[in-house]
Amino acid sequence: MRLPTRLTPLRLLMALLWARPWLAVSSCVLGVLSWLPGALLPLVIGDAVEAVGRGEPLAGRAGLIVALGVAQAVLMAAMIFAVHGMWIHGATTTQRLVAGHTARLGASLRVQAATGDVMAISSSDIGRMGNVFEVLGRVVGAVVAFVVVGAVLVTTSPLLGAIALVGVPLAVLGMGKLVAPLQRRKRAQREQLSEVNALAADIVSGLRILRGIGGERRFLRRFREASQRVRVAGIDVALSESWLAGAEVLLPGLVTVAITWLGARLVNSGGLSVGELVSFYAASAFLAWPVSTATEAAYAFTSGHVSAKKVCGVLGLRSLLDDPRAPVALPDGPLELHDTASGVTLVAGKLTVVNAGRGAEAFAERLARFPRQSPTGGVSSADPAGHVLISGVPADRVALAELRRRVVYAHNQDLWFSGVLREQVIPPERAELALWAADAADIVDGLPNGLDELIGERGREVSGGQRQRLSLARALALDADTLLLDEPTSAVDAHTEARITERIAELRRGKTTVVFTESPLWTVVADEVITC
Amino acid sequence: MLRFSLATGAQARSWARHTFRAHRREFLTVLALLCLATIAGLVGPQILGLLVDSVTGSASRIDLLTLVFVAVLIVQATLRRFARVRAGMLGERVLAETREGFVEQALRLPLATVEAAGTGDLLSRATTDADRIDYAVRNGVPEVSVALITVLLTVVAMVLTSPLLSLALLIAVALIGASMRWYSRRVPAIAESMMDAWADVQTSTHETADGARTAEALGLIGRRIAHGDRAVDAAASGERGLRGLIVRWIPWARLAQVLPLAAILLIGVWGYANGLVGLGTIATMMVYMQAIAGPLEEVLWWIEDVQISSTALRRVLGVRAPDAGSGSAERPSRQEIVVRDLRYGYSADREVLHGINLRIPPGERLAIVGPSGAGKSTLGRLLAGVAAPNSGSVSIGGVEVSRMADDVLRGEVLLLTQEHHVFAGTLRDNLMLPAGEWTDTALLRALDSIGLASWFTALPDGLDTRLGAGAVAVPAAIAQQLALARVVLADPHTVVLDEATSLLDTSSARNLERSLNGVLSGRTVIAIAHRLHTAAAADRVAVVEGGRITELGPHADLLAANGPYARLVAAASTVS
Repeated sequence: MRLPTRLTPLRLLMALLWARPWLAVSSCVLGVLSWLPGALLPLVIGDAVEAVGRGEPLAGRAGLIVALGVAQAVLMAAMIFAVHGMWIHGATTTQRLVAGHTARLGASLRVQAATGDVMAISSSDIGRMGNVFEVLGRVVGAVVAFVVVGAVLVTTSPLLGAIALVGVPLAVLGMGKLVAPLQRRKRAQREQLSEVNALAADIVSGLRILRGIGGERRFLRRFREASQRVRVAGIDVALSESWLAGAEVLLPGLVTVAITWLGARLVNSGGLSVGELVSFYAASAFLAWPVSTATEAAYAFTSGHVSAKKVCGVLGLRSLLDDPRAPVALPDGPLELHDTASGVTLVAGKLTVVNAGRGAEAFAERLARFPRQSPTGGVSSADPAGHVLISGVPADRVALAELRRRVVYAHNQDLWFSGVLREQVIPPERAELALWAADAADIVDGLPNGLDELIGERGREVSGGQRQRLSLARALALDADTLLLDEPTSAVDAHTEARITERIAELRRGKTTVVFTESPLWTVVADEVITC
Repeated sequence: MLRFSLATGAQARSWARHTFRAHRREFLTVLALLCLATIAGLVGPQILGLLVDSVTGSASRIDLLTLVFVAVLIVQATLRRFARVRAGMLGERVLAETREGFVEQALRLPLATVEAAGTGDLLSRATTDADRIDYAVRNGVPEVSVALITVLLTVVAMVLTSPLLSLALLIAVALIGASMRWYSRRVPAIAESMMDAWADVQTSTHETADGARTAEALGLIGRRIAHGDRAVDAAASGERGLRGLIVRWIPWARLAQVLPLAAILLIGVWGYANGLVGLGTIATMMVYMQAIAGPLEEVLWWIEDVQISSTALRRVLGVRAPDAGSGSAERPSRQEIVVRDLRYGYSADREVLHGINLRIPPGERLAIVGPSGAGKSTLGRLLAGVAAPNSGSVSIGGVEVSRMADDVLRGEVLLLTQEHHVFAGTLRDNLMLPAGEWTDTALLRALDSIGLASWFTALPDGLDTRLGAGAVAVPAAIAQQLALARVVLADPHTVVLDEATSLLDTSSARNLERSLNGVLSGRTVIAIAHRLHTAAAADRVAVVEGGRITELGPHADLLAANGPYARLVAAASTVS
């Protein structure tokens, strides 16, 4: 689906609706149809009660009630099918949008947002978005049912009908007043809750550390404190909710009482029949249903709006790097990197070792055109690419997709995703050679299923040194024209490191390879060594 | 995909019983309030019946009945309000307890279990599933209670009003009973797989967000999107499966509300003709039957949520640590570490350590070196009691470390691994994780001792600066230094440092280790390292190769012996 260029919560919701127009229409139509039999039922019943009094035959009326019941059952099922379909559409499409956008943002995401922001959407907001779409068909049906029943009432008794038609919406409005503070308190509670969830999200990644230093107890205490803050905020919510629950009984109830009272007076003075009074009572009781559906819809919409805003917040994040409007193609073959700021040139087709100490990461990010976060938390605004020439082409004139394909920058903090090992080594046919070069073949051989082994989040099953060798193999398999490696052997012993450096020098012969490291073993195999 | 387990139905029921017993008074108060509110609500149709009967009477009687109606309504609304307040407070308490119990259990689970299941599964249980339980507890319990009480009392009123016409209810009982049986047998399996699928969606999203940089750098973006889409597809098909059940079930539940109306009418006609029931009675019964429809519908609607949230509850309760007992509270009197014929494997057929023997006197600085994958980190974890040996023993002062109570153990030995993680929260939160209390001055001194003084002064809010993604980003090297600061604060008598400075550049690492030596002087330090300057500064060096200690002794002796260690040193210094 296409998203509007200027994204607002409302526009996002509309765009989602437009994506499945027929589902939306059918859920609304079924929403209307499924209510109708229920709305007609009280009228038939009132008529039937009178017919009993008059001694008229009733088989037909009983048959009508059964027919209405069957119609309602079938239509209800169809309506549920449609509105549930709407929920699935709203929730899953939002999830797809957010997950896809998150993936496409790449390195720009980490600089701008925390994983927790995305997770909050995935865990609760997509459901609330779904609710907006789920309630749509039902609320359309409720409004139509309300109008139809009201019209019938007005034709039977204009006075009572008018009271029902004015009184019931007034009661809804009255309840609406109570919804706003409730929403506010719910938001406050949700904020507390997201803090609790952020703590919970730390457990898997942090448990090794907590175990090592015995920090479980302190962590649990912190969690308990946050959890109790949620509880206290939840009591505020419960107080708000309770007023709404009371009003839900009282306000429509008062309308019913007014109608019954007037109706009884009318019967008393001969203006209304007993059967009509019973119908009125039943009808005004029936009207409470559309009313509560409307309240539910208002509620779903306000929550959904808040969620849509959060979703827009993530979808609105832009890559920190501009893709050039008129991209310049890079020449074929190995590439030369030249940094105009420092005057450093990394010669095409050579293995260069750069010893830049603490500045290595910033330098590598500049060369490969990666966004960088300033140490105090801000985003450095200047796109670093202006200073870098790739075989004579300014880096910011190269299409990002081509740049990432031709110039690969593998960081030693790169992660493994959970799943089958083979699926992350691309292309698989070069896996064997890459594993050999990174001296990682023995690790794969040691796994029960080799490359088909399922690994968990971040590949924590293997030790740091093993993981580093596997990561190196993953970067080598790409066989990029230019490969930048950040401390690729910082966690392996000297023997292994020596083996790796020799093999990589051999494997990468004729291609540009830049290794940011302080290790002397790399300088042995380097064509060039730069210290800055 | 590996997952946490699912609690059994019996465990969930026992949890429910336990929770009820722990809050018996609150539960009963809520229930009593709901009962009273419901009874007040049932007076309405009664008054209507009276009104219908008295429409031919005086107008003042009608007015009086109406006033009573209003009064009853106010009482009902008030009772309902208080019931909701109490239910809300109770619900929040139960939820907080569940949430905290969940985290308490998760923190006690074996490391491998937690890490294999992953953040997504844990988080989905802590958030989405907890939300489902929250929803059911907060709205479902009061609504279903009100509805059930209404249905029951209405049925009683119907039977009292006219036993004859009440026969019509048998249709409803039969239809609902049969259809619900069909439905509730099929829901749990579908709900379980659907929730697993949603958990996978969260796992996928979490990893995509966490590894966004990696995906961009290594051309994995397309795969991550496809991975996420597959997970969503599975969740959507689970939702559709559930929808299929509901759609097939709901019509029967619906019919169960309408068919009795027709039956009442037919029986009523016969009864009226035979003088067994009055017109008012038929009207009242019809109104009762209609009044039942709403609450009945409510109960039936909630059955789906109750089923779903009971599965959610089983997922939350499924994160449960085995009862390991409290461990030995015996505090070792001496601090000598003895390792005897230690064997360990992550699975039965893959032994990593094959019989390690080692004696480490108090205050010694021991370096463990060896090739990557030789079992150094595993040995470190066993020395720190994080994992228990398959056979053989690791003891401190004669007490087996894996059998020590956690509190005792962490007072003896700490483990600092190469894993680094910045916890959500402030710098202070990140430092104050070990047991103990420290003043700000002590925290600053610790930061200073591991070389973070200048980093600290650049922070906007000092110790209260929030760290992590989206706030102040902490580079891996600094995260590692923060971990060292925690060890300095905890000040154990024995510490196992597993590649604790591997992410720092060589000169910074050398400086840091030097100042750390000062801070930890007199402590037993076991340093696992591949950088050999660490080994040169140690009292003794142990070379681990292929899961065995192949060499052990002081740096100089091993160099002279010209064995594996000497070769390692030679390999590292061929150029420098």
